[in-house]
Amino acid sequence: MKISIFCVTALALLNPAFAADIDTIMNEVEQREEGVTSKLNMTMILEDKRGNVKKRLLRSYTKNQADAESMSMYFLSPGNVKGSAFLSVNYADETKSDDKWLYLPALNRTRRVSQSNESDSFMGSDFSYSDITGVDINDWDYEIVKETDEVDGHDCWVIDSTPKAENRKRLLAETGYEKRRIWVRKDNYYVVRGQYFLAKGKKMKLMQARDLHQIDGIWTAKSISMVTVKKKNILHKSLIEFSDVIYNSEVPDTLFSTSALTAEPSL
Amino acid sequence: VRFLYSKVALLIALQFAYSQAYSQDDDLDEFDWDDVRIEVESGTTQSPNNDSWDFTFNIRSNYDYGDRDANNINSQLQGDIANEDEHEADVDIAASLHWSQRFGNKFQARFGFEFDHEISSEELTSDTIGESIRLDQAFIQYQPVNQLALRAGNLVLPFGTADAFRILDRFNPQDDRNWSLEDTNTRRVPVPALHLNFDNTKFRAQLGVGIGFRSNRLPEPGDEYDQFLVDRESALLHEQNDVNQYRPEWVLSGQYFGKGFDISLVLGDTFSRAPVLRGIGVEDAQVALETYFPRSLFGGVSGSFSKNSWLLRSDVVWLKNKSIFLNNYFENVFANPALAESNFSTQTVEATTGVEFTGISNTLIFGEVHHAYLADHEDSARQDRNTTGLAIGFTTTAMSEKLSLTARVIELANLTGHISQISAHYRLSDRSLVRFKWLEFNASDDSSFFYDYRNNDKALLEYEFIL
Repeated sequence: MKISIFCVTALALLNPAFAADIDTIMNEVEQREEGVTSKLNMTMILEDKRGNVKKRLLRSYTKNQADAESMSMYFLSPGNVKGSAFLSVNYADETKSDDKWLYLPALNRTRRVSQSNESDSFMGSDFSYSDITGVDINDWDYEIVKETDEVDGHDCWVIDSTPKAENRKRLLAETGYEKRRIWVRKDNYYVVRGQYFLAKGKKMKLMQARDLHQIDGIWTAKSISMVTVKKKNILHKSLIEFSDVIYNSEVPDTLFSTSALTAEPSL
Repeated sequence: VRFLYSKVALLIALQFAYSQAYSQDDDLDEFDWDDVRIEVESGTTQSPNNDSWDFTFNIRSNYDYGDRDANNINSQLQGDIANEDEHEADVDIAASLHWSQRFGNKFQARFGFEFDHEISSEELTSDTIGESIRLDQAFIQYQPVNQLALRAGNLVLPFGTADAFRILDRFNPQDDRNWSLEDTNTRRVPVPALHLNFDNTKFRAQLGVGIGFRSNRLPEPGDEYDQFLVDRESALLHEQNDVNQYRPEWVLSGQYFGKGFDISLVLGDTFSRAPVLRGIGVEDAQVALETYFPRSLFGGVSGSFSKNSWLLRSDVVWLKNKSIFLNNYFENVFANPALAESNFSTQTVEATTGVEFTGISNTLIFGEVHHAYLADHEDSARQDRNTTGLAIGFTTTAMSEKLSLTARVIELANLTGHISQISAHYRLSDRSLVRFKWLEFNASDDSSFFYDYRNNDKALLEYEFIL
């Protein structure tokens, strides 16, 4: 069971605002509806502390099947990465290594890449690979530190999570986080805010999901931002905006092949 | 080997210093959430189009500082080489234009053109512009069903998993004009070809058919990367390449994808892309080197395997016949032309094994070993019966992918010659970057074929703009 701040969806529940125990809350968060398939465009904006801005446009396809979660991502701009594509297949069987492939158009070459360090930056952004792929909720201890707090007019639980003692060393290596504080909306169990404490460099990362709305009954954020700070100084900012989101449409299996990376499909 | 260890130590020290720049102690504190909101201008998020253009402009400055020894080069080449001797700088401009378009769900087209010109060598005229423009990858693709695609055009068809020693990648010629200055990966030249591809996610089959032979792009005679540099020490001047060979070449491969691994079989029949010395002749009343491009059947196995932060990849290839140059050919040919042989053919087996590790923050560490074995061998051959090469290095990237640093050492010819390479690029914006590269050549043994290239040290500074 994994939860990811990168999921753009959350389950709409009829009457969720009951006094719940922490395990129930985290299970509801983990079981958010994401759709069997999704197609969407992403605009990634990176801003350094001097205000220099970089913008990338990507198209993403996902498919959740019983034995694997597949994702392909096509880089549409800027020109230096245009035409590049990335394929990831994460197997439910955790004894099997995930498959990750990168296509570079100048070489017309698709090559297997090793699984990156989970705490590494995802495409130069403030998001890490563990932010994208999610963490196993069973690896962490949770505690409600505040029963009620308001975020953008919505009531939230404030929950702290720390690595379980037996997993601490591994999780520090994998995620880089020694503690995470999340804000979970009570009406839809969506993680709308996160405060992530990095073990190295005493830095902190701040996540915010904005403008939640429903698409085909699935809660979807319009944007997710992540900001790295140190002593109240902003070191770097990243924002991902989602558009043209389509859930549960026909996505052929062949889209998640190494050959498909060589020709970006139309949405 | 001792030198290699010192290089490895240098690489580790560089990486350590780089990592330290990113770690300092500080206190945690609460933060005002309103301060960290990222406001986006209206219209930032775009829906992409199905057709697109892109234009890239590069301006490069090379600085050569190796002291070339031109004394042994024949007299007519000495002038040119003397001009390149010691310290020299030149400026190149390069540009590329690419266009791609989809036509419904079944057709796709892509065309690209490249232009490059060395400003310092000659004036830019209509003739030189014409000579400097080349067709890049350009094709039309027809995809009747999701699993099947047919491409026709000017194609690059790569095979194998290796990066530094690409022994299975035999379909496309290489651009060897600036050998080792360019990244190994980017030196492939597109050729007119047909490509049939079937892929059902578990199994992939490919057939590539080349139509019209093309050789490697070679440096000018007497250039620092001239592969016949040692032969030009004799009184021979011109090179005569036999390129009139239009027998179609082909490569067939089948690849199986498992969970965390893949394996492929490759079979092909292609020409050698590098010219092989056949003898001497007379052309325009001058003595000339005669070369040809032998053809060889080859078969190989290739595969890769990943586990957590580790990636293991390996290629093995068998060549039915590979031509090996002989030493002292020109001494022998003048002594007894009837007996002088320039080369001999032998079965060859080559193998590479590469390892990559990504377990250190934002850093890729890589290594690749290459070994070649000649079934037949002669004492006067320029290549040993067993030859070993090695490439090691790392790439590390900072936040925003603004700064990327790569260091690499390639050992050649049984560790008797090496190239050290450090390159860095700094991205000024989404549209522009500055790239720096430094190369050091060395040969520890004067019997090494690499000895004649030992002074090719150079530095390169490049600015790139992308529209």
